[in-house]
Amino acid sequence: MNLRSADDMTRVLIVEDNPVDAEMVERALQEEQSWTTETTVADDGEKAIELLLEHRGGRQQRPDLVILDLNLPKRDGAEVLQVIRTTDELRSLPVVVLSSSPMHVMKSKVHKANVEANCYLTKPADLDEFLALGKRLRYCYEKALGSKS
Amino acid sequence: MLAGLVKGTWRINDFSRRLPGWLRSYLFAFSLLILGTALAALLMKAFGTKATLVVSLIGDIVFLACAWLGYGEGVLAVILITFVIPRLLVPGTRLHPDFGRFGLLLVLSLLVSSISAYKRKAERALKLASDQLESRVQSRTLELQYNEQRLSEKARLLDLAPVGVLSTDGNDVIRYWSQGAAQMYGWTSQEAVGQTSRQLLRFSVLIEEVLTALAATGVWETELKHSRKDGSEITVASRWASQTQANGEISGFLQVNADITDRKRATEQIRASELRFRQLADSMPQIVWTAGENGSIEYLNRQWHEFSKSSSAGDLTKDFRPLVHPDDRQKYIDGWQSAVAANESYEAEVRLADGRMGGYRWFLCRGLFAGDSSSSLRWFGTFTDINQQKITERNLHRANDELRQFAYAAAHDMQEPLRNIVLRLGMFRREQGNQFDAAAMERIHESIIDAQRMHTMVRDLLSFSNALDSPENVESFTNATDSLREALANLGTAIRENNAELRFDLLPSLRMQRVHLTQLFQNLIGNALKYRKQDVTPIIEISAESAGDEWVFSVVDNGIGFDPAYTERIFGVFKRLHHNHQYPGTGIGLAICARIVAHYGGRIWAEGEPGKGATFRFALPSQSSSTNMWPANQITPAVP
Repeated sequence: MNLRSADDMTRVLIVEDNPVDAEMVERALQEEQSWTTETTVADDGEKAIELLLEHRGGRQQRPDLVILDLNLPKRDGAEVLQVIRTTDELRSLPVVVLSSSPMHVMKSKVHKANVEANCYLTKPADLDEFLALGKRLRYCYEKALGSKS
Repeated sequence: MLAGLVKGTWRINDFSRRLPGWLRSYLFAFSLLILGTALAALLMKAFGTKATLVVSLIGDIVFLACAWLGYGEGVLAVILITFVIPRLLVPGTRLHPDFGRFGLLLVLSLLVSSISAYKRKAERALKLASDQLESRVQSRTLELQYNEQRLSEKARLLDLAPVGVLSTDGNDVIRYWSQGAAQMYGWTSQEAVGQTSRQLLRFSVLIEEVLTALAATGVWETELKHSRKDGSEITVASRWASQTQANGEISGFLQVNADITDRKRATEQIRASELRFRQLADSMPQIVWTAGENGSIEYLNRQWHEFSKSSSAGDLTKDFRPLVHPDDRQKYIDGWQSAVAANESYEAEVRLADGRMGGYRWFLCRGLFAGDSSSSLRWFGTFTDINQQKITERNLHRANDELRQFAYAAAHDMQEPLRNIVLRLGMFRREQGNQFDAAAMERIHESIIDAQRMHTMVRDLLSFSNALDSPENVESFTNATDSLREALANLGTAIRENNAELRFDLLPSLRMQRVHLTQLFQNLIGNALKYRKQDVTPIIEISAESAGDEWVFSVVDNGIGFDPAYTERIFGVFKRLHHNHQYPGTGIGLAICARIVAHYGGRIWAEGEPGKGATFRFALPSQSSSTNMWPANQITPAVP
């Protein structure tokens, strides 16, 4: 896990325990060619939290976007989001929840932890649809940046 | 002048009455002396000595009159007047001319005086006796009049009283028969008098018993069956008193008979009805109780005594509270007290200590407020043993929870490998596809389609099991028009692609979760869009109408319709009437609709014919709807 830093590069943390899904997200991001991303995968909630807290101070290593699954081993996605939203340096980090659960189930899980994600997306069971997610992820990210500034 | 004289005389008379008798006599005698002297002087002056005889004669008469009138004390004075004074006044007359006459006159006057005195005394005695007699006669007359009045009043009272009064002689022969008796039995006084009461009324008594009771208390009381003139029998409360002669011998009886047939029958009916109630209550498997005013327990059936093991006389007969489980007690007491205060029915589930087996059992306690003001009964209640039910319910609830969790987890966990298969195969086709021939690629393609279909089914199954999992929040109303608009927005793409025309009225508000109502509309309209006729513009109409205590919603389309034989089947999970290649889908949408409607106590059904469109209707209880949401019927073409 080495995080390169470049001003025009978006560092993306993919929190996903299913390697196929993780790979798909990476591919989807690559499909969006005008958007330069660098990805890191954390395959459980605990690793994601460690990583985030470790790099919270460093501007160069801190992720710019988190793509978060909800059903994760050790600590689930809602807990990860809770840590992000309650840590000063991470509070405004754009987070997209990407889950296979129905939309209302996803939202209710997150809301139960009293936090909010920037976007909620459902994992498609179709390769083309999945690869098309890159566009929507970028849209979510840019919208989050826009609302931040 | 004369009137003045009479008046003056009366005044003197009045005055003289106040003086003592003896003084009066003297005054009278002296008055006569002066008058006599004056008269004698006048006579002598006129007639000389020739008048002496007349004067003496007048003197004698006055003297005797005085003696007669009882003025004995004046006698001496008059003697002086008649015998002494004329001689004093006439010179030369001797002082004692005629002692013989004087003595005679004296004896005569004494005789007259005593006769007169005796006569007056006798008269006085006679007068007194006569007065006394008269007063006695008067008071006796008054007494008799009074008694006569009382008697006639009593006789009238006897006739007025709603009882039969009769008197008999020593041989039971009727001598008096009251009007009340005539009314009660049907025989007139003329018919009854002279007959024996026992034969007439056809009853028998043990005369010894009667006599014993009469000797002890003066009254004999009993209940008897009497016959009436029309042959019918009545029950009477009979009171007898004896009539005795001066020598103490019984000369007859007085009977007072009150007709208590109706009262007796009513009492017996009440007793029978109460007996029936008790038999019924005892035959019921429930504990039965009744409570009166203030909620005090008045009756408990046998089951209670068996359950609580309390004796009928124990404290528990009046109070359930000690038997209620401590955790339920306060709630039970508060609930019951407020029901009593408000005169309302009461219902609660409580645990009661089981006196037979130990431990506690669940009971459904119901108290129906009877509100019967004619009796003391206020609540009629039961305790129904729901212990087994409660245990089953709890187990079922737990099993349901587990099943739901299992279904969710299974479905969720199945989704992931399926998606992996789809995605991996997709990747494979994309990256290595050129290494295989067309037939192999076709197989890969079909595998992807199958895995995708299975993924969809699993996802739908998940949403079916989740359909009612959202937290309960039915306090607020959901406007069905808003729900419908939301559903139409969700279906926006499909509506636009099919170029469908949607028509709907303004719909009522219902007490249900918005997400559920939206899902209902979404699934039904989605269904209508899916089964459209290819060459016809799809028209879907949504409306609602009030029918009794429910709202009936209709979703009417002009699509391909369906065979009525499948009306029931289409609401089953994964039930489809068409093949996959014709219409994609898993057949879970209508099953979810049925589940939601059932959850709110409603019904869902469908009507249709092949080629003639389909109508889906669902009814939801309107007690869960607000009443103010029904504006004028209007059709609004709506495309979100």
